[in-house]
Amino acid sequence: MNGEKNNGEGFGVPGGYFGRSAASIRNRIEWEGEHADFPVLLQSRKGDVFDVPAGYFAGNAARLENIPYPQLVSAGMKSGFVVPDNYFADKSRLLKKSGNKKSAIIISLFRSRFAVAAALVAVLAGAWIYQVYFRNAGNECKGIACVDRYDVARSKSIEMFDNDELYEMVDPQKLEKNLRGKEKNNRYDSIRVEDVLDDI
Amino acid sequence: MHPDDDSDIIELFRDESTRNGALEKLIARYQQRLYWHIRKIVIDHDDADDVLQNTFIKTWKALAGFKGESRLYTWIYRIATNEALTFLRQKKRMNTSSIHPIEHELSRNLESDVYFRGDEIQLRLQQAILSLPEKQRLVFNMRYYDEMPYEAMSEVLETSVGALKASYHIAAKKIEQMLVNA
Repeated sequence: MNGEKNNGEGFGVPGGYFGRSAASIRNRIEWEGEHADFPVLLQSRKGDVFDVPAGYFAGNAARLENIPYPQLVSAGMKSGFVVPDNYFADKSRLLKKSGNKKSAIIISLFRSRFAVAAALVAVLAGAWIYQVYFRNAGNECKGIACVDRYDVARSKSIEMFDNDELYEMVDPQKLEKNLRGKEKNNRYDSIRVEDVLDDI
Repeated sequence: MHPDDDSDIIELFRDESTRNGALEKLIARYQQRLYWHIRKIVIDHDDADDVLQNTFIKTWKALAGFKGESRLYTWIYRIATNEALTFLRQKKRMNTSSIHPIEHELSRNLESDVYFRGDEIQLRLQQAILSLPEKQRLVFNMRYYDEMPYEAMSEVLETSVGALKASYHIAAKKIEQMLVNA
């Protein structure tokens, strides 16, 4: 222990104890002397006339330890959440629920026929949309054969090509296949390959 | 290590990794002493609570600049005293609706304060203390209740020992007469 030299009996004291103790005793003697002429004042002295709420100092210590975090302190340590008036006072709501003898309800995903039917319709519709609008995208040829007639006609660079150059770019077999394919919306699906080439 | 040494707190504070530990020690060591000192000045518990918090905030912010010219506790005690007096002066300025001084209000509130458990004599004593001028009241509380040595009081209030002794004697005499005549 960082203290005074002990007297050999194994006891030590904090450093500077005897010096402070002497000063403290002198102070006490002086204090007693000051109040010798004020007996009523001396008799009236009572240290614990003020009280604090229960647990104040312990709770306050926790609050004061947030001082290095001023933003937390200024936020007032409140969550900001509010409840309706008399929410906690109204116990009838809780009593009603606690008095309910029903057992736990198991909600089955397959219980509702409507939900099952709706899910099936959604799956089937998705499959149909995929089949109609997206599946054929993989079959799209890369060449000019798959270009719609009107797009070709509008394209100025295509118009500048002469027939020989266009013929070289077209793959007639693929062109015929696409024109005679299953696209029902194509106005020209009944036109022959030769007629299309002539128009271009 | 004697608690009044406080070098352990300063050491903890200087090291950034242990700084928050310094605050915890400070609070554990001085919270109650400071609280009771403040409470005797402002009387009301909630006001004392506010002032105590402000005291620790100011202490924490200024601790880096503490030069060790006085004991740490004396330094914090001075901060607490100034905070309490500032609080009362602000309360006085805000108390414009009343023609009575703030100490009169505090004295009146004491009678119905749930956190005051003194008897009739204690109530009269507190009311007598409240009738003293501000500095005299400080000196009286520090000497009468805390038995603070005049040398330490001199550091806190930055007043000479002789002036403090004279001030206390005048205050004690005044209150003794009030209690006798009550």
